[in-house]
This record gives sequence, structure tokens and C-alpha cells, in this order.
Amino acid sequence: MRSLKVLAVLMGAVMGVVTGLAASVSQGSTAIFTVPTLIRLTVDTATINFGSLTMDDYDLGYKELLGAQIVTVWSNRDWTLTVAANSATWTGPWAKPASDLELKVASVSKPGRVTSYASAYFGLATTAQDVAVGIPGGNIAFTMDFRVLLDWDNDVAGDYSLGFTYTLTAP
Amino acid sequence: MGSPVPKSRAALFPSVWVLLFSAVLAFGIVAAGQDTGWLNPSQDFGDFVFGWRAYYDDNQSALIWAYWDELSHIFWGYEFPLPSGAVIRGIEVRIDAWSWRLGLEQPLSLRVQLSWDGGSSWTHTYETGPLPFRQTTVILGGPMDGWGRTWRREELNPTDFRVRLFAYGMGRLDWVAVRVYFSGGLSLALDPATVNLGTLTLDDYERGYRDWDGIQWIKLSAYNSWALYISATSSIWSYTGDLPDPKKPCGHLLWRVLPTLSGGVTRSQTNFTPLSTSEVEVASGPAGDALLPITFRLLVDYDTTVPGTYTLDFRYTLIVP
Repeated sequence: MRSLKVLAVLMGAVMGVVTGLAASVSQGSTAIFTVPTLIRLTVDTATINFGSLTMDDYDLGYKELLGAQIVTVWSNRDWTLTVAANSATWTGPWAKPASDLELKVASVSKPGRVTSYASAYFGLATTAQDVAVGIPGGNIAFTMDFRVLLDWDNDVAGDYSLGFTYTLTAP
Repeated sequence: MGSPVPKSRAALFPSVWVLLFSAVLAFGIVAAGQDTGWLNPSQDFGDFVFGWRAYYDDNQSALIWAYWDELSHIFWGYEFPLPSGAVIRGIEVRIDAWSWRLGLEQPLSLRVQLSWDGGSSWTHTYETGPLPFRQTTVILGGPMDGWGRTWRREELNPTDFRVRLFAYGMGRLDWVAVRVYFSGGLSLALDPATVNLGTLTLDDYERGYRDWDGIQWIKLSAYNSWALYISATSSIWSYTGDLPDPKKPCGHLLWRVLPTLSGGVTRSQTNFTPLSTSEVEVASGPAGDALLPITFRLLVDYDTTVPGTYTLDFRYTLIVP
């Protein structure tokens, strides 16, 4: 029994020495990166072509193009998508007002990233109007419907065109 | 005995293997051990005028005017960052000096000795000179040169280690630096210590991550079998910006060890592993030196990666059980 105690004491001493030999060294490091404000805006087609109008279009009061354009947004901070006519009137046989071109958002690919959007038609103006407002996200696609208003009294025959511009802002 | 300053540059190519090779070159040959880099003195005494001007590699210099007699001057106060258990392989002394003449003085010649006991005893002598009349770098000793003796780590301290210069002629002395080569011990070095991941782009968001292959190198030396661990010091990144803190988790930084050319590693984590506040084993190996290239992957998403600057502190710990 006595020898066992001695052995136990010796083992304890050896373990203590081994524990005492354990050593460590540390080095601190730092990772750093920067994120600028990043936004991107694309349209799948730059021209909305209503083609040649018919008497039925005049009788209906408008011609509509459904899903004529897809506008896609990327932004890493809260954003606003607006649209504005480049001029107050169309170019053509008469000064057809820009507001005769109406548009609305038909569908959104990532509704969870969009706070609000224009689901009802509104006429274009030279001042910016909101198309949609949202939170950070990427590849957020808006399918757009277009409508041009028509009436027999003013819209004489000829070629009409109106430029308009989307603007993506991340304040 | 004097030799020109060695200069080497590793060419940079996109290949990981070339990067590995370059890193090995940049650190020096692993098997040859490590060095302290050039160290400055902080104290001096002797015959030179303005001896303190030779503490640093700068545009100030001590004046040596030993026209009739040989003069001597002693420099000490070198702080040696030597790890516990380090074996000293060699010592180099770097002299940046030149001959300077007002009249017919002799050009400058120097003899150099080292002391390990505060100036009571001195090694054998190396000589250089006469030096040219333009600033010249002379390196005395070498990576495997103990100046005639075997050094103990304990002797390399600011008080006991000294450099003595004997001068003849007239000249200027800009810098008296010392570099110690060693092996073994327990040391851990990071290159770089700060990992700059740069600036993110929208492509990174679309991909969901961005990788930096071999952006950090770990050089370690252990006198026994070892294990290296990594842990974050905080569970979230520190954010600076004009938006609410997105509290990006530290686990969005993943790491892994690239396969390495050098030996000395038994096991390493080669799969991407999220950083956490718990210590996770990076690699382990037998006694000796090892060089580990680390690749980082940053997870990028729109919810936790808003515009701003992010920093995350983490720590490597080398343990000899």
C-alpha cells in the first residue's frame, strides 16, 4: 500500500512537470472590408413600340401593351425607382401631352424586397414619379404594363414618340 | 568579410502554386529558420560624436574622427523578439557608413566585436574598410555565423548583448543594426496581420460570397508537436457606417488552409470553416517549422452587408501540449 502511494505521488509529480511544459503563443489578426453603396438598374428593352393603331383602339380610348418591359433593380441599401418623361409632350403631328403615356407595375419578382409599387396606371410627367420603393436586394424584376391614351379629336395620323427615363436612387 | 545587402523579389503570378512558392521565398527558406529582422540599438557610449545618431536608418549620422588613434564605441539596448526555446543560429551586424574627408584624413575602416555579458567579454573581430565616400551597407556575420561561439537565447537581451566598433580614419555612421537568426522555439508570425479584403462589388452579392486565396500566411515554429487554433474575439463584425448596425455574424468569414509546398503539417482543415468565438483547430504537426497559406471566404448578402466598413478581430493560438 505504501509503495502504491509513492507511485501515485511520483505519477502526480510527472504529470505536473508535463503540464508545466505546455506552452502556447498567440497572434491577433484583423479582417477588414469596405462596402460602398452599390446600385444597378437594367431594362430588357429600351423601346416600347405600340405599332400602328386601329379604329378599335380609338374607340376603346387607349392601346395597351401588357408586360412590355422588365425593369430590374439591384441595391445594397434602401432604394426608390422613379420614372419621368424627357419632355412635356410627344414629338409628332401635335403636342400630345406626356401624361397620355401611362404605365404600371404588373408584377414583382421579389415582393419581399419591395415596400410599395405603382400597381395602378399613372400618366408620365416631366417630374419624377415613384414606380417602386424597396429595401436592399438584388435582381428585383418589375414587369411593366403600358398604355397610350387616344382620342379622335386630337390624335391625328402620324408618327409619335416620347422618351422617358427610369432613375434608381439609394439615398 | 563585408557583403552587399541581399535583395530578392518574388514575382507575382495568378497561380496558387506560384503564390505558394513566392510566399516561401518571402519568408525565407523554411528549413533555415527565422530571423528577428533588423533591430535598432537604444544606448551607446564611446568616442564617436553624436553616437545616438546611429540608432536608426535615417538621414542622421554619427561622426567618426579617428585621425591619430583608433577610436571605439559601444552600442546596446537591442530588443530581441526571440521565442521561448529558440536556438540561435547566427548573428549579423549591419553597418551603414561611409568615409568623409575634410582634408587629408584617411578613409574609414571599422572592426566589430560582440559581447554577451555586458562588455566583459568579446567575440572575435570582423573588419571592413576602407569604406567608399558614399553611403555603404556592410553586413558582417551571417545566418549560420555565431562569431566564434554558440549563443544562448538568454544572452540576447538589451543589457548583455553589445556591439563594439573600432574605427580608424574619418567617416559617418548612419546605422548599427543587428539581426539574429534562430530556429525552434515556439513562434507564430502572420503575414499580413491585417487581412484587407478590399471593397465589395455587386457581383459579390450576386455570387453570395467572395474568396481570397492565400491572402494570409502563417509561419510557425515549435519545439515539439503542435496544434494551431483560430477563434474570433467577437461574435459579430464591428460596423462603421451611416446605417443601423447589421450585426454581421463572425461566421460569415470562413477560412481554410490551402495545400502547402512545405512539410511539417500532419493535419490541416482544408474545407471552408466558419469563424467562431470557440477555438477551432487549423492544423497540427510535428516539431519544426511550418508555413500555412490561409484562404478566406466572406459571405455577402443584402441583409447583413450594408454599405460601410467592417472589421473583425480574430486570434491564432499555437499550442505545444
